[in-house]
Amino acid sequence: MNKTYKYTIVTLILAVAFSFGSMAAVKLMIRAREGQILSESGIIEAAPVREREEQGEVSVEDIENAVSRWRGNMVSAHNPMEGQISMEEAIRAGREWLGEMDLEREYEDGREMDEDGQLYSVYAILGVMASEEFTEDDMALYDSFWRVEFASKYMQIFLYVNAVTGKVWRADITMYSNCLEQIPYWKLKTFVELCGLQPSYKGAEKNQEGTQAVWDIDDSRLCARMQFYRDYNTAYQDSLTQPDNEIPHQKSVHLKMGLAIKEDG
Amino acid sequence: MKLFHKVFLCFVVIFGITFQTAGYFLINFSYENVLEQEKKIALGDFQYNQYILQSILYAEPELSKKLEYEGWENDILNNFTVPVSLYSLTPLSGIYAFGIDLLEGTVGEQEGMKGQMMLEIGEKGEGRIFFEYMFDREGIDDGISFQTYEKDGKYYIFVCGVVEQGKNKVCLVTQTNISAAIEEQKKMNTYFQRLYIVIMCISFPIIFLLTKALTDPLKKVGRAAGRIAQGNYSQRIRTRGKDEISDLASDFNQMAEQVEEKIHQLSDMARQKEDFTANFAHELKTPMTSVIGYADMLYQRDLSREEVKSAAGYILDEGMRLEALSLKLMDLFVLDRQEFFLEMMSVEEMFENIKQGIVPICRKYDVALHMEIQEGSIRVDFDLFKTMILNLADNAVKSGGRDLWISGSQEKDSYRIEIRDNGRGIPKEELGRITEAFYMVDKSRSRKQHGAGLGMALAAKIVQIHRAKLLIESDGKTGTSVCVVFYTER
Repeated sequence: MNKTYKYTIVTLILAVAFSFGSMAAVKLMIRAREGQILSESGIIEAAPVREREEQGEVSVEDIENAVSRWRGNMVSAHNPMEGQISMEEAIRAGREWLGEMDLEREYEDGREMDEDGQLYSVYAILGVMASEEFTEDDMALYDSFWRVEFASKYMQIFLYVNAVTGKVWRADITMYSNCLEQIPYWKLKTFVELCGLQPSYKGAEKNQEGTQAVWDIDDSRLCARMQFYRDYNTAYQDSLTQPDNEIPHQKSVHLKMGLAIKEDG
Repeated sequence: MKLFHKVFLCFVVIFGITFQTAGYFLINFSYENVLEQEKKIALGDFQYNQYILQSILYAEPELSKKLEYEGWENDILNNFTVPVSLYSLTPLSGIYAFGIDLLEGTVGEQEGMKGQMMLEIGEKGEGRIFFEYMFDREGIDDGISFQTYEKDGKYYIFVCGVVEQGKNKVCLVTQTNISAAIEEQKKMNTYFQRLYIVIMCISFPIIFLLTKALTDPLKKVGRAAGRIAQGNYSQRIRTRGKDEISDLASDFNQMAEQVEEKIHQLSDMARQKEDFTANFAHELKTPMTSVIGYADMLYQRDLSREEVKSAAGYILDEGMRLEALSLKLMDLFVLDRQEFFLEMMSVEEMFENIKQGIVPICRKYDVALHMEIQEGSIRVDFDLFKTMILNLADNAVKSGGRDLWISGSQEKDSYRIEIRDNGRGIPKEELGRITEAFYMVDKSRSRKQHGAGLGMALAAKIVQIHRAKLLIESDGKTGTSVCVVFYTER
């Protein structure tokens, strides 16, 4: 009986020793693997240019497809692809659009300035506006946009320039001074024409509050939509990082215009 | 080490290895997944900030000149969404390399690495972060490279790539902080280890009980075997279920039964041998005593003719008895050691022959013989069959009756031969032992008739050789009936 008892004690000790020993061994292995993973380095091969059929003219149907896939403001940036315009072309297209839309700027020493002589900073980012539910294989070249930002202390403009056509299909404008007093719905006609589309002869339909206007586009499911509202709480913020600023709270005006699918389309 | 200990250890080892291996692979897989996700985020950050840098270079082609003015660095760097480092790859003349030592909080000048302009930033308070991988390379190509890095308990992914705009070629390094994701992974790792300890604490008693449940039946078998070895042959194990253990238990019970049976058989055989030897010695001693006694008397004394004749008569009687005894013993031994060939023979014909041996005996003892044999055939060795019938007839004649009936009748699947007398019979309590060697119901009568108590033993042996059945019935008063049943279809 004594021998059995001793064997039982020895067995229990061995079992406990094995349990903790194996735990320690695996812990060491995990730590080693962790060290390996967390010091990994390598080269990410640049994504090859996707083989696409040569993109000819972007048809109205293509525009409808792209617009119907819009969700949010910008989902992800990607490298430029063949058949898409460059950043310089996008910025140039944006400047031209601003000129056409009477949002002129001046130049001094080759640098852009707004009406009040404030410097603009210009940034351009190429990405897609479609929802994440679409995979890369679902995307066409014309689904990509250059988001060109013109920012100064008194105005911030985001223009969404189509990467294939170079046309502005959407604009978000925030004014902190010299603000518009009412919705400039007549600009929708110019906007549609600058998109290369035919605005309907019926003209713009406005709501009673004067905050929204719609201008139909002939022979398509598309329309141009404008939103106009005042914001009495927003302060000017530096474009990306600085939460604090030197300008006291003041009212601002937001003007958004862009292509959309008609509600009955 | 007992089986219980071995099984218990095996369970623990297998369980531990399985759990830890699964845990290791799960954690490894999770780590790799998390890092892949973080790499994608870091790449996204890089691509986004790449465009920001391009935009800056587009707007300010003479960026290097701007950096001579104090405050420009912050203006530029504030545009990026993550901490970055910029390294100009286009040679510029008259420009010192710039470095911001955030630990000191000052802008200073230092020699640039490989003579390149340097603008560097890290998270506040952490100082400069060097991208060693990039500087280890001989040339910078157009690929995007990454490096995972740990510093002071925080984890980062650096992504490095070349950005070209106009005449400018700048190497951009972005830093993405992945500490939160890695900390979550470490927590998961710690949680796994704690879970393992808890599960082991719970499973130890369960494994213990399981092992006990498996090995206890084997212990019972062992204990039962021990008791049987000590002489308790009736020990059995209760069987439950239909698994291998219950099969073992039922096989053990069968074995125990066989052992018990064999032990009893051996005991019986040993007892029979002992009795046989004792009886044989006694049967031998008794006539020898008489022979020696009378021979001594003849040798020692001068006896009259009558006395000499009487003594010689006794010596002759006992000698004949000894002769009969030795002949019968010889027959018994021969029966034990020989193979016999049985053949089909007609019962009527056999009894015609045997009758010639029975009639003189009946005449000698003044017994009337009644024989009625039906037609039939049985498989026999004739000599043995004759010996058996003569022995049974001899016993019947010497039982003191007036008549002897011998009949043979064919039954459904057997042939029945009956030898019946109306002598003194055999007491019921003696019937079980009547076929034992040297056993005599009435010893004195038997000895007088030169009997040795081996006739019925011989007959029983012959019946056994023929695979027949011997049935003896007697009430102990009015006679005895001995039946031998020969099976015809076996």
